[in-house]
Amino acid sequence: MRKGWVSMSEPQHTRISLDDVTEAAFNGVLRALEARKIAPEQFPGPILVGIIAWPELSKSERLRGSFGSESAGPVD
Amino acid sequence: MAVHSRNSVSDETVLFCPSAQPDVGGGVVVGVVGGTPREPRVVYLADPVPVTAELLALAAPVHPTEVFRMAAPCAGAGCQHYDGARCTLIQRIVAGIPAVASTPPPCGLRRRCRWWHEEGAAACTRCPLIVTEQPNPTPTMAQVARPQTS
Repeated sequence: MRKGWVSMSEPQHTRISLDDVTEAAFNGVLRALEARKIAPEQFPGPILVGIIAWPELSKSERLRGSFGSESAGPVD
Repeated sequence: MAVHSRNSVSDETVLFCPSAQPDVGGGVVVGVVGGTPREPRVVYLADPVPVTAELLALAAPVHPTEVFRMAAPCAGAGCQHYDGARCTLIQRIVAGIPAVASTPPPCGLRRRCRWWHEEGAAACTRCPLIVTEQPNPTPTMAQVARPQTS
C-alpha cells in the first residue's frame, strides 16, 4: 500500500447540506489550486475521467424530485 | 436512436454516471471534493442538486470538475468507457485501487448510479477519492482512467 494514498479510516464528515455547499466549494477550490502545484511524481491520485455526452439530453430541471428523499443514504 | 431514448432523465430506470462533465444535460451535483490535495475525499450532498451556472461558478478559477462531483445520465455507447454492456472505468477502478472506506458512504445518487449497480459496495468504497478531472495523476491512476482498447 502506498504511503499517503489509502486511509481506511472514515472521513469525519461525509455529508453536507445544500447550505454548506458554498463553503465546501470554496475549500474545494483551494484544494484544487494546491493540487495543481504538486509535481506528478508526488501526487497520489486521483483520476481523470471523461465522458462524451449526448447533447440532446434534457435539462437538469427535469430531475428535480426524481430522486426523492429515500435515495439519500446507503442501499443495503 | 435506441441509446438516446434510454437517456431520458425522467425515466427512473436510467442509470447515472457518477463522474460526469458539467455540460451534460440532466446533470446533478452529488458531492464536493474535500480532503487535501494529496488525499482528496468527496463529501456527498444530502440530496443531489441540479447543475446550474451559478453553482458551477463557485468553482472559479478552477474547473468545476476539480471541485464538484457531478452525475448525469449514462451516455452509453457515446462514452469511451462503455463496452456495450457495462462501464469499464469502474471495473478498472475496483481492480486497481484499494478501498478508502469500510462501508459505502451515504449517497443520494446510489439507487440510480451505474457504478453501484454494476460493482456494488466495491465501487462506493472507492468513490470518495475520485475527482473527475485532476492534474498530475500518478501513472497508476492514469492507467486506470485510460479507456480500454479492443
